Amino acid sequence: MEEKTFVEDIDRSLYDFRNEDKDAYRIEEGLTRDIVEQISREKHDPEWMREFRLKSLEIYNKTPMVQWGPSIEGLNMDNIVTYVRPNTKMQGKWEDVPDDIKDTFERLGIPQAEQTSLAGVGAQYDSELVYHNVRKEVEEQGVVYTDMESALNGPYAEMVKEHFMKLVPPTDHKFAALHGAVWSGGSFVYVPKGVKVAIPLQSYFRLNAKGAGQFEHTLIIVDEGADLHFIEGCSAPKYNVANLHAGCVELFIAKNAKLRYSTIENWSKNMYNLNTKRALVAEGGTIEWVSGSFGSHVSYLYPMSVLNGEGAHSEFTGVTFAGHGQNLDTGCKVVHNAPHTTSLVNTRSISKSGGISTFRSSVVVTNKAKHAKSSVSCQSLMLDNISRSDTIPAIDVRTADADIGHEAKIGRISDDAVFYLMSRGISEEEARAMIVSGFADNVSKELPLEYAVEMNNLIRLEMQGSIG
Amino acid sequence: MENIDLIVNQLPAPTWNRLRMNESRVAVAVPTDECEPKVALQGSVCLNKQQIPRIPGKNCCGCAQMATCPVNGIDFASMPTGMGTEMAQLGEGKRIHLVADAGKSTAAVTLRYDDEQKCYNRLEIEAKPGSELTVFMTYISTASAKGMAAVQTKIAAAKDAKVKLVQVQLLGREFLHLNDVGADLAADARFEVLQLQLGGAQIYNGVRTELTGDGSSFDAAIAYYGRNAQRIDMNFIANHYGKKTDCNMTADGVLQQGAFKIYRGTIDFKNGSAGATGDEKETVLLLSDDVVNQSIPLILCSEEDVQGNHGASIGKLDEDLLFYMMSRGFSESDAIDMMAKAKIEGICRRIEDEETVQLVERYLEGVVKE
Repeated sequence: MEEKTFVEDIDRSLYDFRNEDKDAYRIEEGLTRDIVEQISREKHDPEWMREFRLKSLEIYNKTPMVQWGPSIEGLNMDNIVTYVRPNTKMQGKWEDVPDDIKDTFERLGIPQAEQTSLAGVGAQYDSELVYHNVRKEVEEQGVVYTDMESALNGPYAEMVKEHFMKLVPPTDHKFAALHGAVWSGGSFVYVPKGVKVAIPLQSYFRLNAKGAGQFEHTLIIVDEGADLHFIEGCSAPKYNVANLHAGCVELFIAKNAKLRYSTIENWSKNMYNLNTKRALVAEGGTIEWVSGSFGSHVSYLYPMSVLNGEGAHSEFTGVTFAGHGQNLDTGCKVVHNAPHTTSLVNTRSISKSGGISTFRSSVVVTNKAKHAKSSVSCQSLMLDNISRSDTIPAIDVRTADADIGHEAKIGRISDDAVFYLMSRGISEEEARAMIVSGFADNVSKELPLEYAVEMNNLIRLEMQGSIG
Repeated sequence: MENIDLIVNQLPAPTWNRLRMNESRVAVAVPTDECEPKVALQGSVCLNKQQIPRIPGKNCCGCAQMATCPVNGIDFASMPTGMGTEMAQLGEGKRIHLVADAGKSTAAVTLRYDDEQKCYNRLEIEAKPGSELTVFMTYISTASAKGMAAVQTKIAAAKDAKVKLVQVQLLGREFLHLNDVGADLAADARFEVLQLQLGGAQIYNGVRTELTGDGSSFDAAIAYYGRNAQRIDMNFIANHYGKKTDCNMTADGVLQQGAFKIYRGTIDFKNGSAGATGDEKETVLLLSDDVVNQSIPLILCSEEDVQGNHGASIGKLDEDLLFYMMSRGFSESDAIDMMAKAKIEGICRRIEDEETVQLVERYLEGVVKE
């Protein structure tokens, strides 16, 4: 038997810092009708939204907990604060953002990234956006990038009403209902017909408050022939109590439009990440998901693509890295519901130090999807024998005119590869980190350079101190 | 007649309920008839039809002492199977017990059903160290017959034993078939199961193997021809406990005329199964637009030093291949028939019994011309 050396993970000080939230407005803990109505009042909801929240609460109370995934017994909604408003309004300039919050985003590199490589930035701190800005030239193209509250009460109110939680209805699952009841924050993006946004927009979600939940709603509508890359980042400091993230992302991709939605998820390891993401793709449209899941204590995350128009296409590229104390259940869902639709899924999972990673997917091909093609490839890497890695892919095909392929592999780092790298003067630790980074390059090569570097740093961070 | 509602073929790790793949529910009749299997033995295998009292810790004797052998140390009753624990609700069933001593042997078990028969049979196979046993099981009835054929087969393979189980199902168009298999393999034991699911209306088929001993191996190959709104519901599970264990599972089938098929295949590398390997392959040929194909191949892993692979290919007949065959003078329907038969023949080639192969061929000729 091979000798193993094991060293604990190093701290995640880059993300694991926290501010006092003494000036913030916190709603009381738990989930009641009064709390939902209070959130609605705080946010100056239109009447339809108040009713929507209350209806969602009813659905939440009636819907049973999921029975199939990682345990969420440690999450007690009675202890979760569903709304925490920082002591600032949303600002258009970083210098107007309070120092402690600005400092948080500076340490995360958001203002710097905005200057160098982004067309617009939204920064959410706990339940509300604290900063939102979009470059003038992008605004002049007619691109709308604003916070959800402004959209709900502004000139795009009807558009929001028409699309809000239509793709992910509160009846979808218990935490979609919870989101419908207590959602707050998030971004609204509208890209007009034919507009191609050359550089990405980014929203960054930071949950600072202890024992709180973040329920941001992201609604993106990419109109006919338009093109957008949207980046989402998230992180939180670690507390010894459960935090909850139950966001919702709804993406509408019109005829011949294209959206790339990239996420680097790095929540702290006390976070229950029960997020729902879904895209509806019309004729000739494309959705590309790029997803890196590194943080959270428990994660349920399966971006879904509904290919509803002829020739619609989806790609999902994902990497999940589960370390000590983490149970990350990630993957994707694709529904082919129109002729000549195509989908491509390519994922990597890494398990280490007792972490559990599960790749879970479903590819459904309806009878309407003649000549549909789908290819799913998932690979898992086990870095020790105290961890766990499961692969649960489901395929449901209901037409003869389809071509569906699936492949899965599970294995360990090849000793030969480590030996080869060590014979070239690289330490064993470095060699293993290099191999794991290479294993995850399906995602890193799809990200803008600076995010790929961040992702590789995260992998390196996770791999440091671990031999075997 | 009252039915029993069974939950069968449960996935070892469930997924989204709305996909309806986690398990199946089936209403079955209470078995009322005794189907007397015809058993033919060759070599060092013998049959004990008696109910043998189970006294834990005592080993069963071999064939030579069978007549006076009162005890059996193998707990067949609690051996897990592919269809799951609810099969026990079918009662005791008609039970036979085979014991194979060291050396080569074969057993042919034919279950011939009459119209309206509702039977539950159990077969227990005890393969002694160094034995090499091939068991041919054939389920057969007239083409128009209806009824229920429930069969549970359990195999205990001792060290170095090799068991090959060939199950050929040629039941009538309205039969409900429950085929439930469980196996436990000691060190270096090998279990090979070949299945042809060709007849029946509703087929529930579960095969579960515990690769307990180091170096044990499991090879499963199934071929099916789903048509006439058949339901073919499968659950294959390989649990790797021993070191350097190996499994290979292949499912190859054709679906047409409103057939529904679900294939659940699980390779589970348990902690401690260092050096284990597992492979799973599935191909499905879809020949009409009213079929439903569901596949859920799982790899579960809590051991680092393993290699697991799965591949699935689902779709219609390759157009280039069809064009090639038509350019050689075959009609489109002949070409499709030929490709469908090829799936079955892949298994037939591994069946080393001419009589069984001919039976399949005759059956298939009838089917293809329907």
